[in-house]
Amino acid sequence: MFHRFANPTRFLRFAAVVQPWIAGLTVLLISAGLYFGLFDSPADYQQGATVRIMYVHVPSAWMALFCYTSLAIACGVALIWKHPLADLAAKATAPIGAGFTFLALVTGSLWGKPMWGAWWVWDARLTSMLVLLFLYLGYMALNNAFDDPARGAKSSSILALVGFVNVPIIKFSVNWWNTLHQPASVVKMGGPSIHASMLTPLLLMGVGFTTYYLWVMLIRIRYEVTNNKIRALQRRQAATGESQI
Amino acid sequence: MRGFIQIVRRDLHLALRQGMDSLMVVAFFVIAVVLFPFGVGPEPNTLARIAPGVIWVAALLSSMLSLERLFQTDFEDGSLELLALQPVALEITVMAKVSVHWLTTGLPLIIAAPLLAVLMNLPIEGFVPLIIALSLGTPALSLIGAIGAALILGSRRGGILLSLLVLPLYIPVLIFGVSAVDAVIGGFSAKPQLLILSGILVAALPLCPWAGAAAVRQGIE
Amino acid sequence: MTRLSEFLDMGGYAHFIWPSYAVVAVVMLGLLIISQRELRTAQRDLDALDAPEEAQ
Repeated sequence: MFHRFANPTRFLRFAAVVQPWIAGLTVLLISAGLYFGLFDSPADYQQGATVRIMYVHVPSAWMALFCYTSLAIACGVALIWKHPLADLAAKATAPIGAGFTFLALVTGSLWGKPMWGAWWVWDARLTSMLVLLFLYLGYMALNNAFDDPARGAKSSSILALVGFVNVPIIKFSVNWWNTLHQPASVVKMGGPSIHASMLTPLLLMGVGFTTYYLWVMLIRIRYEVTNNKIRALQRRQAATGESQI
Repeated sequence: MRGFIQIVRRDLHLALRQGMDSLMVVAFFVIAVVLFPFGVGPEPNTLARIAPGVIWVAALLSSMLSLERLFQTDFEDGSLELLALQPVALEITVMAKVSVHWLTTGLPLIIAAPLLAVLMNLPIEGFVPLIIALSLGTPALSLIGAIGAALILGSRRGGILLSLLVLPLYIPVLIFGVSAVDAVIGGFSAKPQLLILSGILVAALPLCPWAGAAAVRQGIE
Repeated sequence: MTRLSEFLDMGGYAHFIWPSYAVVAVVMLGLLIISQRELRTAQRDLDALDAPEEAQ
């Protein structure tokens, strides 16, 4: 199925058709999620209203990992089958994933303050999310560190795959390190008992964030395709320019 | 195997001719660790408590210093392409370069570590696990670092970029390296930590040259 | 009127809940708007490059 989209023009047509639907779906899902999350679900008996932060924190954390996985898959496809679109999809995914990771950290810290009394706690999940943010920044930095974008794409794809292999190892070692130095005062924030009324907003926001990711990714891929066309045209004009002189 | 030894000998000659290189790495290692008492205060107990962490972080940063030039000089004068065309697999060449990097940086760090452990007032029972952990950890650091060094070939801002890419991947080695020493100081056996460290090393031995060679191959196209 | 202020108060945790929703909105909408604007400028540059003859 993917090879049909190998040539950019066919992909552009497909993207132009699908994008409005994805946009509408995203707006619908997120507004429904916000409605149920903020207005229609009870406060948690233990955490009070702060549990409402969960409706943005947990989906962001899901998306942070989901984006890194799709980034690694896109890089794998790009390296193995030299699929031109996969490189662009990976380059488009990275900033969105980094954004979600940053959001997961900020909302986690905002949730941690009332719950644990500190803005930043070296809890295993927050720490792994911080390391994931560095993996994203590394990928993006390497991607634009070369003059030739194709060169940048290839070398950052290898980094994304190496990073992807390391994510479980880092997660394991951070969990291990955290339990070793378990600060006594931290209340181990077990997942709140997901009551049905809380599950609906959580899932709505989760799916809404996923369609949001697809939406912005389509926009960024179309941007990258157009950019490549511009660069190709400039090179051709430069070439024809020289030949005329 | 002959090709491996040739490359190692060649690079070793190159490295030893400017012997200053590994001396400078050790000098950085010592200075980095000596800074901490000025920052944290000379009070022996606090120094002793943070000693393993400080020594390990400084070792990690110093081993990263000379990573950038691992392939850079050969890349610039084109001998990297020749190395890639040799009958010897590129992975072997990468492995040779990594072992030379370890010999010129990892080993000197291990030799200098006890001196710094004294400076940082590390309890005496912590010395042996520190040496064992470092000798298991520093080769893994060189192996993982080699991938980063190969990835940044031909990029604009090499050095800083290399540290951004490689440091997150160093975290597992750092965590288990430090906790191996802490465990022994705390009176427990450091076997589990050292086993995991050797596990990381054994996994890194085949995987890192393979990934590094792939990075070099697409770097010289 | 009390229902609104009570709702906004969020059981005393207003200072944590609203900022987290605000930062989520800012980052997600910001990324969306920046991407769309970049796409629009890229398309305009492409059209300019494509048809310089009519443009002059």
